[in-house]
Amino acid sequence: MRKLVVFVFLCIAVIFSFKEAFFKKDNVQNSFMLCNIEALAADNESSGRWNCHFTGSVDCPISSVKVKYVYGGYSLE
Amino acid sequence: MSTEATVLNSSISLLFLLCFFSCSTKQKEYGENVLLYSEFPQEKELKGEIIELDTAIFRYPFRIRVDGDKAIVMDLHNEDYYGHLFHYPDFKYLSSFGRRGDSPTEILSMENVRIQNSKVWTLDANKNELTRLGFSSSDDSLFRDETVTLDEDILRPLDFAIYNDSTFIIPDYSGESRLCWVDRHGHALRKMGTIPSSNEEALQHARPALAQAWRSFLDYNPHSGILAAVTQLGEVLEIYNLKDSTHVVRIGKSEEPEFKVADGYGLPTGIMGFSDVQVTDNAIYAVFHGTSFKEIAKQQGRLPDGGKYIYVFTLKGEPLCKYVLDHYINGIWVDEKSKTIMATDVNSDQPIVRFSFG
Repeated sequence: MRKLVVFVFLCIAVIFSFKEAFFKKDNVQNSFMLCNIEALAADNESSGRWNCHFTGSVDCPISSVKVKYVYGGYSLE
Repeated sequence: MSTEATVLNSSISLLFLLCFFSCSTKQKEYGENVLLYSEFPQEKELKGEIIELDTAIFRYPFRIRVDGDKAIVMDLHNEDYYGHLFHYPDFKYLSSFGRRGDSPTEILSMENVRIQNSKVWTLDANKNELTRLGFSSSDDSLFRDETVTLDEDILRPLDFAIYNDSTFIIPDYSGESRLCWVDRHGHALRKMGTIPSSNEEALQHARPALAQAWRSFLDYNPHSGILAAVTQLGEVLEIYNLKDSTHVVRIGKSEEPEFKVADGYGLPTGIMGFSDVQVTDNAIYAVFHGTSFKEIAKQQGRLPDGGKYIYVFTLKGEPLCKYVLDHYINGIWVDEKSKTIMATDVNSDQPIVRFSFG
């Protein structure tokens, strides 16, 4: 009986892990870190935790200007 | 069969059942007024005709409005003036207005421009002001008539529609509601609606961030009483019929806006969605992009800015036609009588493009 309970518990754990992995969104922050480590150019705004880049129509939260994109910044801490 | 064996068999069956449900497509819970769309019954290619301008004054021409023999192009990023007046349809330059600056008669930003009864209204989100301008006697210049300072509790007004002579509609950026009715003195009259998101967690705990992610562009047609809102992220069109108080939500293949919360802000992920919408007497036209922010960031600004698609819906939100363009555009002005669409292309030194349809 004990083995059965352990078996059922493990099955449920596997199912939830599978579901979490299946629906997990891409880690956008890591992708952006890799692509944009040198992209801290003149025309960007930064809070240290995220950056607003280029000229566009997306509202930048820190500077209230419109930018092309905003992404989570790379912390050196 | 022993009890243990029976229980084991039942567990295995339950296991398969759970696997089946966990493997199934993630179902989002939407209300009855939320309808999904994926295809359009018609798809047509439109070729743009570039309108040659005799002046180079734009940095980011985002909006275009036409009224009679006047056209106004709004620049989102100009160093000097945000608005430019032209004679229509030849686009002979007349003058500029909306000087950028800190003084009381200057503006810090311009989110949108609208023409009503020969008067021009502009919205400055950074000053929290609506400004009304009138034409000069020679009809070739615009001068400031009136400034309406919006209440402080109207957070970051990023767009506006004119409901009637005394009322404006502004998206509610606080997330508490969807839309805010504002009077001519800038006072909030009432708030209406909720963000039709299936993201229960954000609705409960991160409404301001959700409101930022659901930032929408508006247009209102007083003849039909239809107010349309399209999301800048994702692919959502909302239709409010203000005459019969119905509300329909249309969600496309790119689904609702995606974002992540950082420092209480909603940072865009997912895709760039719509950039403009116009409600005519017969249909709703919306410019759609569909480019992912991941790709935009990867290309470090090298991708063309704008959308290559104009989606056309009925006034009830049923897909009618998808226009595929040969230019990337942001703003449109649709004239159904002449079957032309004027558009702005920020990627070109000659940014005004005319499309013929129908």
